Amino acid sequence: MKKILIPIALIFTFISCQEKFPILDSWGSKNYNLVNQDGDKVIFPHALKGKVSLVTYIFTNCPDICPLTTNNMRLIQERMKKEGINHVDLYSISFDPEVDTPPVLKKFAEMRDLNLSNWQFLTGDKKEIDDLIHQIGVFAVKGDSTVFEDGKTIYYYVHTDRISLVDKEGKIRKNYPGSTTNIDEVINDLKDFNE
Amino acid sequence: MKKLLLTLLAITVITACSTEKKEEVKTEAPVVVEKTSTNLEIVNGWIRPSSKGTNTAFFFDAVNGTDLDDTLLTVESDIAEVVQVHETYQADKGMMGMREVKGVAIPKGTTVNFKPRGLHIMLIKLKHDVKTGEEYKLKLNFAKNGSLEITAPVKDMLMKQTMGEHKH
Repeated sequence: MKKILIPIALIFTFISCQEKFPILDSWGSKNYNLVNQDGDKVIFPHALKGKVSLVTYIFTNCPDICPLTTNNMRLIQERMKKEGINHVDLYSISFDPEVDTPPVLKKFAEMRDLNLSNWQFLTGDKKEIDDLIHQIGVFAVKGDSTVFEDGKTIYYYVHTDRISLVDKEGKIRKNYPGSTTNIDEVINDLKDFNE
Repeated sequence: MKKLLLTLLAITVITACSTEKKEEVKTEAPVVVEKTSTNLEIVNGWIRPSSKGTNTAFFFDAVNGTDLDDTLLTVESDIAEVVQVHETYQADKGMMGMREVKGVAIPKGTTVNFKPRGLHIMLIKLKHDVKTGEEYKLKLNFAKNGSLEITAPVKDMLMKQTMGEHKH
């Protein structure tokens, strides 16, 4: 009896890990040509492989939700450092690449004194970005706008508020509500998750 | 031994089924509390830092201690090309959006919170960088109580901090 129950217990333990971090989504075999805040090329999600990642989706003209999400990413990064979690990289992808060029993203990070040692802000061609986010169920739709005297228009996106936990194979294993993320929950997950 | 193993097995199964799902979020409505002043006051004001050419937001509490129901109509500021009253709202599929609102009621004897994930003043297309530690003047125009000029500091407040500062 003992010989049977122990393997069963081990199988259930394995299943419990799969249950906690099931594969929710992935970019499949697709890769996207992006650039980071320094203008360096980043092949996404290929560049993520081999490390666990937290990925969020923002636009820098967002005055409310995206700054909260960015602050949560910063808090997670600070807690990771404090708790010795060093197997995780951070990525913020802009879904407004026409505005969010590398210099704009760099300034956005500098204004907030963000530590970019393991955190990259990514942008790219609009079509590439749209395809990338739609592939994993992230939405960003142009909503209200403001038209200036010089005829220029800026748009405010209605968008998904999310931070994704991505495994070493580039598959999404959990999503958190970006602007209201429970930092303790993320840190506990990162301690458990190193696949 | 058999009982012990069965107990361990049961605990493992329960743990496996206890995955938390916290995707649900809600837009918070303005909080109305008892009046704390006999005047119309703007308290706890702060501006989020941002760079030249981008947008940011101004947050505060509007305390209406007067005997008049009032409405915040517009806000003026020299630091942005356009200033609008906005609200953040939850749209379909868990998406978050933002839209302009024309006038916000500030009923007599209440406090209305302009805070992250809710009502805020949009400072659109900043004329220069707005950095932490700086202070800027803003003018709030009300329907009945006239205009109020205030000075607000620039801070990069976190959600928890803003909630903490809204205790009354």
